[in-house]
Amino acid sequence: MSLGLYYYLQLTALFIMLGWNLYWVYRIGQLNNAPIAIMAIGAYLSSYAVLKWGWPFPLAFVFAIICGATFALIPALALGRAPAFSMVIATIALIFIMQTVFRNLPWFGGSIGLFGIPKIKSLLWITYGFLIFFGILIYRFDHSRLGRAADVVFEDRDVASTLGVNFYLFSVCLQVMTGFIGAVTGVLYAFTIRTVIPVYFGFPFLLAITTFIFVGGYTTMWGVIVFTPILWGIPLILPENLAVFRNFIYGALLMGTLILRSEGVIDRRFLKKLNMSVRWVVNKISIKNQKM
Amino acid sequence: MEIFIAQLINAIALGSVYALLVTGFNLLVVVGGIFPFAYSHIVVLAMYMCWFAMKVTGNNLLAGILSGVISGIAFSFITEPIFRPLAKRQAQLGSFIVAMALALILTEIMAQKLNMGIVISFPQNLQGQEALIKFGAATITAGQIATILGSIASFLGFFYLLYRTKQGRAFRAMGQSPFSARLLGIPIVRTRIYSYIIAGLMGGISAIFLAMALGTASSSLGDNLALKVMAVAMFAGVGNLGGGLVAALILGLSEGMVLAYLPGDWSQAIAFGMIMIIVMIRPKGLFGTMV
Repeated sequence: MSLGLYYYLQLTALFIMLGWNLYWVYRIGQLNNAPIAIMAIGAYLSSYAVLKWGWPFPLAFVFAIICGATFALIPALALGRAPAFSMVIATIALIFIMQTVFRNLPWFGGSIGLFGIPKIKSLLWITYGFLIFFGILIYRFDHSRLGRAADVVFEDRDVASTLGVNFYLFSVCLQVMTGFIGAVTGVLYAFTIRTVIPVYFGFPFLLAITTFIFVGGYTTMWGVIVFTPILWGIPLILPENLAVFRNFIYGALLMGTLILRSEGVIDRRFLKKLNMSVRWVVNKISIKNQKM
Repeated sequence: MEIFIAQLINAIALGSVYALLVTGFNLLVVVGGIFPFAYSHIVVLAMYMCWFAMKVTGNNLLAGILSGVISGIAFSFITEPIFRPLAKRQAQLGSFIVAMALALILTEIMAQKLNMGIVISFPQNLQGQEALIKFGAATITAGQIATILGSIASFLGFFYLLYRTKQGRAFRAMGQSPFSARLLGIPIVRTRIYSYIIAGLMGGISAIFLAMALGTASSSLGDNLALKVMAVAMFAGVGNLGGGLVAALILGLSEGMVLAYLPGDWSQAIAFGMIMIIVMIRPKGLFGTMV
């Protein structure tokens, strides 16, 4: 496999995971950007453990995930009941705090970061294994009683609480879960790029992930799967003089989509229509086969 | 002590500019019915226009100031139709995402097309670096005094408009309830457009003061300012016009003091750390959300 294709596949999977991360908490109407900060924690701690303490990759992986998920509990407990905007801004603030902390702590390499991270064999398999695992997890969640409860919370928090949904507990659990996924993504990202610098985990990165979700559609998990490879891939195949306008293209797409199609391209109505079309085609084929 | 006083004046000047920015931001939240993340990017674009006008006219101060203020109004006004459908749907979170996209586009334009992405530096006559008052090693510059006095004049003008004029009453009514305001015969769309114009005016003035205070501007300044403005708004309580003023001064002071007395670039972490704590203790901000 060529190096370009490897990076494309690897980063696409990681961006899908991050997209799901944001999607999952958004199911209850909260836009939680903390996974980007937790991703930085996962990336830095695992790299540090391998480079400075000489730990093997699996141990560093588990260590970083435990630290990331534990750290996710702090904003989760504090912001569980916060209004939607408070959460958006507080978690963006968290991204900047983490960036500043990693930039200013000398043992994490300051602005230069950590480099020389060793190459891990079969990282692509590990990444896609986690992608499938998280995909199944979120799919099961969406199609369970919890998913239906999330739908009610999204529509009206008060109604949900009247129906017996403990919003605070729900929010905290989802945030910790996404913290766990964020940390996994961070470790895999660090060992893919093999360099960790604070700039990676900043605001432009968050904007790119937000674009993937909101253009793809934030009411289902499928929008991220379909649109992340496309939106992330387009700038890679564009001529160099156009590829520099990647953020411009993302911005225009995001703006146009939200104004014209407020729930993104792949929303629930789209999925319903697609489902009906598939059933219609299957029916037609089976009728044809019976006649034959 | 001298250094402390110099830093204090600097911090007050910076805090005054933040306060102006937050006031414009809050006006758009309350009256415009949106969450204007891109407001600070418009201000930075106005700074670029000010720099461009001065470059073309051979550092003419008046041309620079007029260009900055007018472009602030014009850019803010142009964005109104983009947000109108979202304001109508009362989709505040949607408006925030659209504003993020707009911010991304504006940043990209500044990074790719304006001065080839190189940091712009404002002429000395705009910065006003000459010392007006000296005490020991510390000095107070003309730029700092102009910023503080200009900000105070702008606030007085704004609050006069808000509490002493018919248009101001319309703004406040819209802030309380757009539905009731419509029943009372207030033209919703026109009032929203006026709010964009007034916010643009405040943004244009802020652009000039920022050019004086910072001396330079770059495409990344928009994101930094946007986060600080949102942080201040959150700190005070989103939409709280009076609270925003106090919170902006607190942020300016804390940032100035951190820059003066702490090693490294910790000012952002301190500012955002304060926001995190406030959001945790009082999710609706220090002074609550009100008009």
